[in-house]
Amino acid sequence: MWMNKKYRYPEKYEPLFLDAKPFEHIVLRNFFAKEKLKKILAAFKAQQFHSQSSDLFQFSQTNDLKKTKDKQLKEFYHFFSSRKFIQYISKLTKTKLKKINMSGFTYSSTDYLLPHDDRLEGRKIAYIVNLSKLKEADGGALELFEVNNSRATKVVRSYPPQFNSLVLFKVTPSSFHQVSEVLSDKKRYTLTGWFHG
Amino acid sequence: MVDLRNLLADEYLDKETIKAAAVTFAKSNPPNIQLKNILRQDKFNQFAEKLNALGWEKKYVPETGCYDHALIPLGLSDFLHSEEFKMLISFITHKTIHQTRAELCSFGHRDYTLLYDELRDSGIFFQLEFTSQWDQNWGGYTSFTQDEEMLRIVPSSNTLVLVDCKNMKHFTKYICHKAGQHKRILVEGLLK
Repeated sequence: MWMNKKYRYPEKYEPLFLDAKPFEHIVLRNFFAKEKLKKILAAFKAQQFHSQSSDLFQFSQTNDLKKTKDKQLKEFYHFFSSRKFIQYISKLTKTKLKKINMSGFTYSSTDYLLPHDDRLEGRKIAYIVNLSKLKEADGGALELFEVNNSRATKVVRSYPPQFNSLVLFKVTPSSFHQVSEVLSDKKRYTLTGWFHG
Repeated sequence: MVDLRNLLADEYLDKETIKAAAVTFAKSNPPNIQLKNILRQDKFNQFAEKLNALGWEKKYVPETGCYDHALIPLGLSDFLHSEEFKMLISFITHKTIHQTRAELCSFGHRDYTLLYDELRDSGIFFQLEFTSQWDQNWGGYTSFTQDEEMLRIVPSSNTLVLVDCKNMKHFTKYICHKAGQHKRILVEGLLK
């Protein structure tokens, strides 16, 4: 079992997701079986990462994990992309979903992702599986913006990464978010991608 | 009227220097030049001192950028809008310059600008740099892109940068915490 049993009823979390401000999102703590996720973290660290830099971001990323050769990651990918799990996320987010993509990301000291809305053909729900824990002072927090007149104005929610939390948010014209700069030597490890419609 | 002899370093009052600059500009891809030690040292110091005393205001539009800006002090503004300055730029770039659009900016930790769809530069982009010491590992450099990076300008004190920004966009790289209290202070804008 990959999932923590307490999360087995998605309808329980649907209202929390739909009513969240500033836009539909939810942070599900201790979502996976802890010991299994620890193994995923170990496999994650052994992956090859490529540094990426643009006006908008600086971080290191793996290739799409669909093609990973690692046994553990392969299993996790298989679970996460299964019809059953996609149906579960569809219910929780009240959004019709078909498939996923997934990459590993490492944010080291000075890495960041600046405000953007994630919109791209087919992306419906963005997700983050947090594989490390950072304190507020370490940076690396997922931050959500309030939007006025279709422009992002200010950060109104800030979520420092918690190991074994699953973050979901709806991709819309107003889903502006960023990842604050990592300020310490701790690393922000995540498996991230989108559920596509 | 502005007398360039009171403003520009002696080297740049020499026609041969300007001719050579025009050749360098035209031969570069994208057309650009960095004119080091452009202002007379006493004038530069005088302007730099004025910049320290200004009231800066934060300009924060998350999707496009975050930095401080202030009104350009009078002496400096007169110079940048003068016919003499526009003539000098025309000589170097072989473009007729009618107007100067300039903004005085200060970039510190957490500041940045982003590329965005409506961002369309045309004309001669310029930067007059007042930053004394900079390490590009802090970010804060100006990157000119056309899908990929075509030109990177790392701050260098008392330097006038000219770039023909046709078909390019530019951004200022996010400044990370390694910059500490250092600020990049410059006047930048478009000459059209």
